[in-house]
Amino acid sequence: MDWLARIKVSPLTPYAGVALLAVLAYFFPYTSPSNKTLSLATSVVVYSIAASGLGLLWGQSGQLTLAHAAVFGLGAYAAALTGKFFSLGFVAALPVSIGTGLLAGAIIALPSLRTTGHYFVILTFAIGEVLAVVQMRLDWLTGGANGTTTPVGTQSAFGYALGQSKDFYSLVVLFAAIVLMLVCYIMRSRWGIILRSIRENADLATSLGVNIKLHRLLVFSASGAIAGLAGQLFAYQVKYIAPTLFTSQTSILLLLVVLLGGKSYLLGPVVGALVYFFLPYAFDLTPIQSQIAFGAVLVIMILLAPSGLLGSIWRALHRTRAPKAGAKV
Amino acid sequence: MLKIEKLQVHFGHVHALRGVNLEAARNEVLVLIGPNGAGKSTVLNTVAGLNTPTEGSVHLDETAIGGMTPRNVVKAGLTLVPQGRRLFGSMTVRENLEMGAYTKNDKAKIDDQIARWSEFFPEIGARLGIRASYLSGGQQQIVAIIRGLMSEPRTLMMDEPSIGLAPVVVKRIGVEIRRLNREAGIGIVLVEQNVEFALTVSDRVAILAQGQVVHTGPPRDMRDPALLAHHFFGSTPETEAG
Repeated sequence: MDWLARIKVSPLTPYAGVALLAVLAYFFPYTSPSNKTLSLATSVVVYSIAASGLGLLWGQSGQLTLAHAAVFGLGAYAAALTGKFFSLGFVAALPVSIGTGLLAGAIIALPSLRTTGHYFVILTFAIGEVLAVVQMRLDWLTGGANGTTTPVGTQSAFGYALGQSKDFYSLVVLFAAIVLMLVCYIMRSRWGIILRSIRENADLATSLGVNIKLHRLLVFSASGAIAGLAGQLFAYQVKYIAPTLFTSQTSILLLLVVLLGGKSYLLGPVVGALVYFFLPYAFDLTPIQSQIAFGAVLVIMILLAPSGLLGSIWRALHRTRAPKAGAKV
Repeated sequence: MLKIEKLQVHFGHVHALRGVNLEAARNEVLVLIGPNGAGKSTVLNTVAGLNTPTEGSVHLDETAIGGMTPRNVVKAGLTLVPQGRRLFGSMTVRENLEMGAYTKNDKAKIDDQIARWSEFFPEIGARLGIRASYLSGGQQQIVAIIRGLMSEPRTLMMDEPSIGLAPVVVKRIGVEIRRLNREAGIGIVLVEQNVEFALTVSDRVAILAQGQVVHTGPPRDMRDPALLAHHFFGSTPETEAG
């Protein structure tokens, strides 16, 4: 595989890759897929966005959270409720849902400034569950267990009719492209290096002058903002949301999606979401069968390929190159 | 000139440093040795701002750096190369070095620094794009040292640079440390367990025992077994003789 090493990689290559992928995905409806396939594809893209936020947080800065679905849910509720009570349209609701996610992310980050590791993960689990209970209890606002509907109606945004599945899908793909390019930019920026240094060795990073607390707060906020956006897209996709959709079970699903694709890769969440949604469909699995299958997949991935599908592919391609670097002093 | 005066540190009920007095000039390599638990690493960590002193002062030239945050200590011109896992393993050598320049914002200057030290340590210069974990132990230690240099410190502190390295590599690290002091004019303070290494690398040795500096002098002092036994094991020459 020596030819691989010889390809000069331009700094713009990943952006071009994302753009190409987005174009391909954008024109997918022109292959006249069935309604079922199109709806699955929309889910893949929405979950890719949500999982990208988690990928940034977990894959880059190394911070695991079980409250990501709760933040995602807050974004969804922010969009649905501002639409219901203040008649905010899709575009007007965007800053609200993104802002809600950002704020929620920052608030969840606060305990991480004092607690880290397993205790912090347990804490995020509790926060996620509490938020679900709050959504359940605030009947007058959220509709409680009955949930609430998103007033999609005949709205359109940026020239796309939101009620039309093909149009909505295309719009979601555009959002995904923007988010992925943004995450790509972050990963390749100096901030990306700082986040990875915190993941690798927080004490060492501190000794170099890195203000870990500040960067934890920032990355949680960024990740929350992305989740909030995904939440709004989700609310407009399914048109009906309820607290049960955003429990820590959904957080675990998002973790699985990220892990499956490869948590430190830009496209990991996309690959993970593709596999997660299309595998049961391709093999025609019942929901129970697919739950069992994903349980097994999760165990196998953690044991054999902790860097995910992309990580495994990457390693297979580079296997012949690694020994060169091992030369002695 | 690094000047530490009456430095005291408490960890809860543990009185770790009991008034440490120490001076290190820029034209010397000062090695701090002492038995386990004497507080050697605590001295470095406290000076670097990772621990908060309960009393005492630390000056780097004219600047009082005692009690500063790690970031400000680095900015003031003093950097610590900590012990143990030295590098960000999954990141490239270049990224590791860029992290060392965390307190700097001038991209061109950072690249200049990388170029400068790549020339000073050519074998690292040839490996900038490689994952840090692929380097040998000796190379990793040198990268850790360069990373410390990236913040352009006047004084560099190292916590056990010889740990976990093969004897031949330790020798090599010692040569590089002295070269750094003589040719690049960077003051060096390091903590060591390996007394043999400490003697070959140092201009001056300080012995720390039970949270206090109990002896300073040229490395040849350490050739006196009675002195070492006294400070390391608490035995006196008299009891040895008896």
